[in-house]
Amino acid sequence: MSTADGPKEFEFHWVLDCPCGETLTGLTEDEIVEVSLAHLGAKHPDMAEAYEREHILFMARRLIRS
Amino acid sequence: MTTADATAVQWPAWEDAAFYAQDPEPMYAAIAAQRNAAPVYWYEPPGYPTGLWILSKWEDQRFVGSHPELFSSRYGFAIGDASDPATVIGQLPEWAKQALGQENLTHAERRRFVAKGKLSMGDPDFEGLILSDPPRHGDIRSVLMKALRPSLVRSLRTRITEIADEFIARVEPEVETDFVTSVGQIPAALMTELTGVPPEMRERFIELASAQMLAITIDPNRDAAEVARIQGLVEEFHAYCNELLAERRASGGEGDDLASIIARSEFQGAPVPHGLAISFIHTFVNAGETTRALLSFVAMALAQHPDQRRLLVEHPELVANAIDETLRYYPLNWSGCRTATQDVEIGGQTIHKGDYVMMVYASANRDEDVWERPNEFDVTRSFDKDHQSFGYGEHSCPGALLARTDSTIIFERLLARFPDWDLAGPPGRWGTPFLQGMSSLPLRFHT
Repeated sequence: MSTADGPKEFEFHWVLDCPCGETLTGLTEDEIVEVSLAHLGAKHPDMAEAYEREHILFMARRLIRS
Repeated sequence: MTTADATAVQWPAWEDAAFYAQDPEPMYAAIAAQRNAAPVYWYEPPGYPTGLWILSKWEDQRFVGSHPELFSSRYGFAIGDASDPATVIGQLPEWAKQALGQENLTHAERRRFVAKGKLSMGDPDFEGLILSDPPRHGDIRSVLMKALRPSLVRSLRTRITEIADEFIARVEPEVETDFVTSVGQIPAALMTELTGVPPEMRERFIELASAQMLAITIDPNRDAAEVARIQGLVEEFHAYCNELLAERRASGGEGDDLASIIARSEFQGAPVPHGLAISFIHTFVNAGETTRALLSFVAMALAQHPDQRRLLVEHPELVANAIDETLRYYPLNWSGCRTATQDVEIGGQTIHKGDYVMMVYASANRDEDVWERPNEFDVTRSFDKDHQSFGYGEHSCPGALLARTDSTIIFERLLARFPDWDLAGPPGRWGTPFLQGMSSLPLRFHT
């Protein structure tokens, strides 16, 4: 990484690593919550009710997009 | 000791604190040599009653972390827990000594008594999140997460900024400053305040909490004087935590501090049992100490990589990313352990029921199959795959959000005040085969 080429803009996204091994991403807080709830409903229906928006945002991280 | 090949890069002595105390370059070369030659490896530490499996690859560690039904946390969490009990008995409380005196204990049961004994500070009813399995683990964690909920962490941003500015204002430009005992104190100051420790006790409490971090790792090679020193401080720490909790329970837990929240919380329909509540208080206070270590490594990494620091000055939005890159590059937790609950095959090796398994996070964080240029410190690195420094799955660090939030705010403020700093002397690290931190970091800040 160098700044020799001048100012660089970085793009960020929200990332959540589900303990099942799947990595979930969303461009905004709302999107990562939506994607995570959909994943829970589809892959872990027995746990879906245990997770609310707060729990999801707790686990998600805002990081640079590759 | 086994060697990787004829070029004789010595493989790690995983149980030996001296291995982790050496310069990072040869240490990581040794770790990489083993990872590439034997990613799932049966290692027999000298003097230990049995060996353990070393898992070096990111993918294998993720598998273990996401299968608590196959890999239990009840029977130890650090390599030292597998020591011959006879070599560490002097570091354990009476109840653990008696428990270990029983006949026909399995290796796993011995590890549990050693691990619980060192954490318990003499209290046989002590119950730590780190030594629990689902479904009980989930119930325990949900009480803790109610206290450390994301909305609370977000609401703390203003207070964290105030404390950070207060500490940073005391740093004088162009004067040698020990980062560890200046800016590095911010998380501990915050956590003692949040926990509800009165201002006049905070400094002493931080000192006691530092000793408790050392007690978390049991080490047969620790000398008697050091054991006695740590035990004395830890007893004082535990006594004070007991007092704080008793006070909050007596007053009905009406306050906003974390001790009050725990005092009024329920666990499975009843007040949180004392042994569990006390472990929560320890967790809160330890969070201050581990975040101090994280901050110190960030400051050191940015002193060692001025180009990366300049990038953060130009792009403060990268600070959060820089925190995660430091966690990957300088993990605080070298590793974490589990015990197999049944025979499982990983990487072509059969791990048998009862075997101890060590996930070397420091190795996964430099795994060439996951990271491009793994030995390079790059604050613009993409974390499409997460590092292992907070663990993974059910047992991932419950304080991760708070640690990331604290650290990001503190470095945003520090870089705004001092865009430049360099090392004013050699840094001092402390380390055990489980954890590391910094004992001193002499820096000179420039405006």
